[in-house]
Amino acid sequence: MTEVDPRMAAEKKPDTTPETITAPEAPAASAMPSGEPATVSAAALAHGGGAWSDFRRRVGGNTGAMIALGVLTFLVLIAAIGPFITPADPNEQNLRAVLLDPFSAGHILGTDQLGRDILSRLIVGTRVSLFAITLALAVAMVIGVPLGFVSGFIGGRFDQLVMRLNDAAMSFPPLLLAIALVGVLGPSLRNAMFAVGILMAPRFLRLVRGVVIGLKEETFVEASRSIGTPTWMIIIRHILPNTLSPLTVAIAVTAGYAMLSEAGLSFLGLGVQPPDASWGSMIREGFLYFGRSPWLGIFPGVLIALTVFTFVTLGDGLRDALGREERTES
Amino acid sequence: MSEPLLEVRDLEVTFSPRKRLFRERVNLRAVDGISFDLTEGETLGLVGESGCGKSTTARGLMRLVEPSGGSVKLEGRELLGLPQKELRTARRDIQMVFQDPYSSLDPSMLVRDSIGEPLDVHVKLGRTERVEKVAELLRRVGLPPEYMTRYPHEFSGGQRQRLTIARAIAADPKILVLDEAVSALDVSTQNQVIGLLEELSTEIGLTYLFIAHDLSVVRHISDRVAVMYLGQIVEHGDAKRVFDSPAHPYTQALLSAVPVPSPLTQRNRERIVLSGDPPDPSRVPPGCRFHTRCRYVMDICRTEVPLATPAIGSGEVACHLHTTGPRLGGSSVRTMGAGIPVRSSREVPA
Amino acid sequence: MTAAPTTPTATDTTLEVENLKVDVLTEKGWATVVDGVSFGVARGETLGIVGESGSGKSVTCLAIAGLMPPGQTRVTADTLRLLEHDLTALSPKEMADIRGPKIAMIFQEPMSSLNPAFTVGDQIAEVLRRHEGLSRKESRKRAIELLDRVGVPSPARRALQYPFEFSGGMRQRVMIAIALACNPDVIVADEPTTALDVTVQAQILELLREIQEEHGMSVIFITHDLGVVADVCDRVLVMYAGQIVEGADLAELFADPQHPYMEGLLAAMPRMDNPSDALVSIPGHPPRVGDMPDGCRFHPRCGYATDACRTDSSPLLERVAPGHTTRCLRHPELTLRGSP
Repeated sequence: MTEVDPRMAAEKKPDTTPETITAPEAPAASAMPSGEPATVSAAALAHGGGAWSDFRRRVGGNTGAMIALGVLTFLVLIAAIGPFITPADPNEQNLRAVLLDPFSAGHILGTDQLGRDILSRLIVGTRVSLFAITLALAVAMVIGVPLGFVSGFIGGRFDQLVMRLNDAAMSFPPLLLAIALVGVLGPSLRNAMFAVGILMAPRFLRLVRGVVIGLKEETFVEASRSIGTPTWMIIIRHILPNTLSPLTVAIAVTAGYAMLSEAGLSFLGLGVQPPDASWGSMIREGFLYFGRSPWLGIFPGVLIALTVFTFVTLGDGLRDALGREERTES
Repeated sequence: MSEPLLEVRDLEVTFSPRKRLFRERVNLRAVDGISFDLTEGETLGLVGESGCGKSTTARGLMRLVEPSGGSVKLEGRELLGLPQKELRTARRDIQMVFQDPYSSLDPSMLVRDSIGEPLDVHVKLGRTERVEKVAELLRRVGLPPEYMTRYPHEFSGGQRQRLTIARAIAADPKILVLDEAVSALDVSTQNQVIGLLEELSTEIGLTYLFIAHDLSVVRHISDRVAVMYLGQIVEHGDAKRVFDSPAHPYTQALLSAVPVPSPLTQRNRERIVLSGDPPDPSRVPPGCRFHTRCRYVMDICRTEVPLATPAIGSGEVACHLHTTGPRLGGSSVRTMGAGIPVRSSREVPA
Repeated sequence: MTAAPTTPTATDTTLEVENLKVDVLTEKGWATVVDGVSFGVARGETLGIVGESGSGKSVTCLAIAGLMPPGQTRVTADTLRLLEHDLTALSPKEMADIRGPKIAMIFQEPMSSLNPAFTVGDQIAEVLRRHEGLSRKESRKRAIELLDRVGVPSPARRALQYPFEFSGGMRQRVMIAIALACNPDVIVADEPTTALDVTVQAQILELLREIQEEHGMSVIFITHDLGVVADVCDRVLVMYAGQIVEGADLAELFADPQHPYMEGLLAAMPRMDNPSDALVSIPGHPPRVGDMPDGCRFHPRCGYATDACRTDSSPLLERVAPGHTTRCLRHPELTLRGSP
């Protein structure tokens, strides 16, 4: 996406990409000019470094991820300014113009069974759907990430207890549990996504725990201990930054599932309540008229499919870009 | 004789695997009573085959694994049992370089921050000073200072090992523990790194504990050598003495197994091919640990643990041949036929 | 062995390779990793291929055995003949039928070459059933015999165990048993002892030597350790940056190297028997794939390089003596130090 690219390119400048490194192994220390004063390039000082710029450098080269990121930016933009750009009031009924075909006058994507403008409803539905995803992810991460981190880092009995609870949570059929939770909490989008978030927490817990356990065994963590680095510093410097990449990938992939769950729960009438629109609830409403006006379900369905696809592509792209970098031994 | 810089006495490291259903809990004593001294400025080579406990010794004395017994004194100060906080400051004097140059640098960290880590922990410098110190360290290990804004994956194995050496010497330690530090490198790169280590030891007077399985390399860099087998030191002494007239049958076999890159020498030398694998460290044989593979095995070896006795020339050896074995001209018969024709004449000691 | 490495004239050549090229697909497009390698192996001969990591020695052998992944790699050769088979003309399936009975491989890491889910005996027996058409019972019996032959103690019991119950050295023995199962004409051993301890390495080298004497097969031995080469090989090819830079009989190569790279390698080997020499190293490191220097590929690291070495096209492999070739422009004027 063009609006992201220049920034990426600018960020890449101070960094050197792997391809340009051709400096041979210096023969020995003595080969260096010894009398050279300690001049340090400005770049060395200015370069921010750290995991974040590394992230940008590596993802910037991945076309798939960049396109997905662009689509996502577009969706967020629509969600932000949606209410101001709708061609009509999304909830205004017009019973004299129900189930209009697409490309009718004034309703470019047609109208639904109550004569509401479909394009407008899709636009405001974007915000609802994205809000739903964000809520679910936030809930999932707030529960899963810290618990997984502590569980992996401490290990022992605490870890065993957490993992058994986690297994128990994961063994429930997800949608059924969500329905039960919404049944208790009452049907509303917020409650539905809260339930979805709780259901997704074990994914993050498992992932973060695994990553942390793996990192604890890494030689660079042991090296850090041998240096005498205090534990809190090891966590901040080595463990957290290296948890970030796999976590980012998991967020992108899970967002796709959250989107589907929202659609599913809304379809069952447990999510967003009429007359508000979300893509999932629009499918449910259009479902009854599928024989006569299939586009009622098709338009939101395509959007959901596209968004899920975007998230999955983003996840895959991130996985490729952030995976362990290739060893460059020649 | 000056006070040793590092004094290790009866170091023991025991691993107790988690208790499992239907399986007996077997304590594995990976390091079983190791003692040695490191004098300032010297290089002690610690050799042995995989699983003999040489790396565990290093990790034990660094307290990366908690030893189950013994004592490690750094300049007279006991390290074992030291509370974490004081241990951290003590660690400044004794740093370590690991085998795998790929996994020992954090992939998400700039070279500058990796090398600067000991400075952040022990020295605490201002931003500019820190960058200058890192630049100096890079130059010291033979890399251009510009490399500090790069990531580890951009470097070759040899360059990475230079980086880990730079990190290890950042806070001016007295001792460097090199755990198979050059084993993963190609010969030529390995020699460059060894050259660098030798330079550092003469320039800043570093003391090395050099752990390796490659005996040819150990012979080059070490002043003294200790040979480990199944968690114990079976022989130690001056490098020249140990390599030229090995006293322990295991050392002899080990030396004779190293192929010499010269067809004439290699094909005409006597070879001792040991049978079998080293025994499982959790099921140590009684008596001398080496008796199951030893070609000189005597009855006493199967029951009595041999004690360390002075070896002719220098150091000590733990072998019954030297105390109760057959003698010839006052010395043990096994001193003959060590396997490698060495250019310097190796007379049979009188 | 009187055959010159490039033009084997011996009648009993089991494997003949001429102008082998291997390209691999990298991020920057196709790059040549093996560039015009030619050699022959006589029956009963052990041919060593030495070089640093990345020199193309392993790729050469994987390409010959048809084990390079298609799609990401391209293998071409003027001649690639194993006994009566033209390997360039074989389909992957036909190649798989030849691997085992005609050419067998032994790799560095035996654990990853063995299937952890099957007993060691089953894995040997499977090879026998597939290629020799033995019955279940016969193949089991033969598998135990093979384990016995490669020196695995109590073979009948060990045949029922899984790979993880074997030590590194014992696993390598199992790999040798599998390689031997169909009595191949050529065995390719790719750094078979690099992951092993020296005392175990000595055992495995001894075993390989015995087996070769017994069966008279050709062995291609890939290693970076010149000590191992001195121990087991009859003839040696030295590879650098995807090319053969020198080839000769073992004794001659060590006594009278004709290429500065070989001299450098010999000088760089730390010597147990002569430790007083300071360690020498070849400066710099090998060129990266796809980024070969002009002229002689070794010139940036060569102490004898002149302008001709830098600018002329890559020198050809020249014959300096019967059975001795080198790829060095200056070989007539240079007197290089060996290690007889």
